[in-house]
Amino acid sequence: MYKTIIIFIAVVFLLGCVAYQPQKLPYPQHIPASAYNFKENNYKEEKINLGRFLFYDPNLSADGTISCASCHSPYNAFAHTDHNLSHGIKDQIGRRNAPALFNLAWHSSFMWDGAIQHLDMQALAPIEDEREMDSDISQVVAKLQKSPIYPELFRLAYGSNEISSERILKALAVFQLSLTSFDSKYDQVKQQKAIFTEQEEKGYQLFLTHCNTCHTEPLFTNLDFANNGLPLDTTLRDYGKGAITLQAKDSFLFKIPSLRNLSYTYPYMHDGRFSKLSQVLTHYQKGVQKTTNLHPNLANGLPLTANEKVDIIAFLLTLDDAKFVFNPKHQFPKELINN
Amino acid sequence: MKKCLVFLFLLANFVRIFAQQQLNFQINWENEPLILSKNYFSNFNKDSLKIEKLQFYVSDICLLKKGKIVYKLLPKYKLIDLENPNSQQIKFKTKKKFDAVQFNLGIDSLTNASGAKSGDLDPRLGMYWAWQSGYINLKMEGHSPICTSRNQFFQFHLGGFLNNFYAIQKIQFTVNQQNMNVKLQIDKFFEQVNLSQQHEIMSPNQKAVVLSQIIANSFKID
Repeated sequence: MYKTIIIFIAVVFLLGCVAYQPQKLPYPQHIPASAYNFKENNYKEEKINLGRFLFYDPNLSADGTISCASCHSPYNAFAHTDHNLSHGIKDQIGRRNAPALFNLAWHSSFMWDGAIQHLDMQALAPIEDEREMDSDISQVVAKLQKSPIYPELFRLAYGSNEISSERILKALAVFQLSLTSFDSKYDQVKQQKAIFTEQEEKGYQLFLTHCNTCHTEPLFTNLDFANNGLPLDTTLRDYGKGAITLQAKDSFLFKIPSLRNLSYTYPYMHDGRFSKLSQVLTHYQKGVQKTTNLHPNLANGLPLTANEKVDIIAFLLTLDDAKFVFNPKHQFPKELINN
Repeated sequence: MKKCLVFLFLLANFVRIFAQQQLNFQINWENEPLILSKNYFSNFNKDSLKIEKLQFYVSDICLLKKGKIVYKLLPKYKLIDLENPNSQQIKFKTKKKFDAVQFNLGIDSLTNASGAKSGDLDPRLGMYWAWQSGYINLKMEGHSPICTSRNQFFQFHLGGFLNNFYAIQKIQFTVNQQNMNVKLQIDKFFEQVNLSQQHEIMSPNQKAVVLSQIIANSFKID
């Protein structure tokens, strides 16, 4: 009898061990390990869902008009199209083009100038910027505490319905971490589920020669900062990372963006000055302005023929990930409509 | 008689073990507690000034014996606020003997770069820069007629944890008693800072590091 009980307990215990698998950020094998420390903020479906509500909720702004998604639309791979400079509360124009949001678990600095060192703290910047949401985290906490829907969402995510700035920031971070984009044609080729056309293959080889140093595959960014020779826009006088570190060597350095999902994320560059990929390639071919800290690969411009530029663009379009862009799990939660 | 001695011995030990020890942070102007919004006269600036906000972080407070850490006080991070007397006392209990106390003025770089936090590090407390990463180690705001800024306002938001502008300051004092009163003599700061020239620091830079050092040198213990 005792034996039966002991065996029964052992079986239940083992089954429990098998059933309990902490959730992990999923990504395919050809992608390197992510950088985000999930030990401090565990990856959990209910927390992602809470973060999704917060991301789409205009109550994060002072007058309830602007949400994160206002400038980071899911249909643009979470970038802001149509405007070279993104605009926020009361139609105020900002200083830069809102970058696309995906594969953020691999990044350890954020914003075009690297002003933010941790994804959890990034959301504070747009919440408090007077041209973006013009609010502050205390106001956000107070508003959410009065909401009929949030206490339950916090309980599901964290085990109690306490609403704090730490919990808000971590849920927003986890939702953004869940935005992985690794299902483009390029990814399928890497997993031997598809093959490049002849033109795409030519473009890929040209890309490896000319672009891969900075836009390193498979993330298509080396996560670093560089001066890519853009002439200074004197109406903005944006010195990028240099304005943060106050070091001359960092002047005109901007975060190297990923080249995934380019079809959805136009216009390009930190100030959205180019609306077409052909303009970007023409810049690298013959528009580069020489300054002391210009990236060395661009010293003489990129020697590209007209045909080669077309081939490179054909390859770049294989980095579009429509499944990511139209993934319903990332989209507006309808329960927010009447909140 | 013997019993009585034993009792006294036990009592003394009991008191030693269970007595609360205390580390106090006082903010003074010329050896008197600083009063919020009161007008003081700065001899160096030759003008009056009043302080309307003064908050700063101390972190990693520990007790040392012969240069070695013997006890770490909790909490690890403490926001000291001129307006909140409770924030200025840290209670602790230890049997360990010590001859020095050490703490940081400010928040270390690792903590600065490791995500959302609660308690005294909650960004709601206004001691975090939103537009860029990083805690504000010390915030002092007020007015002085000598300031050329709008409304003669001065604001020193001192912080920074990257590269050349790491503003944290390590402070150490030798001590010979259980209760310690660490005093920030804020008048000393205004003996070295010319308010007509310098009245606004709101981002990490070289000046923030220099002013943080001046603040650190304005602490004493007794």
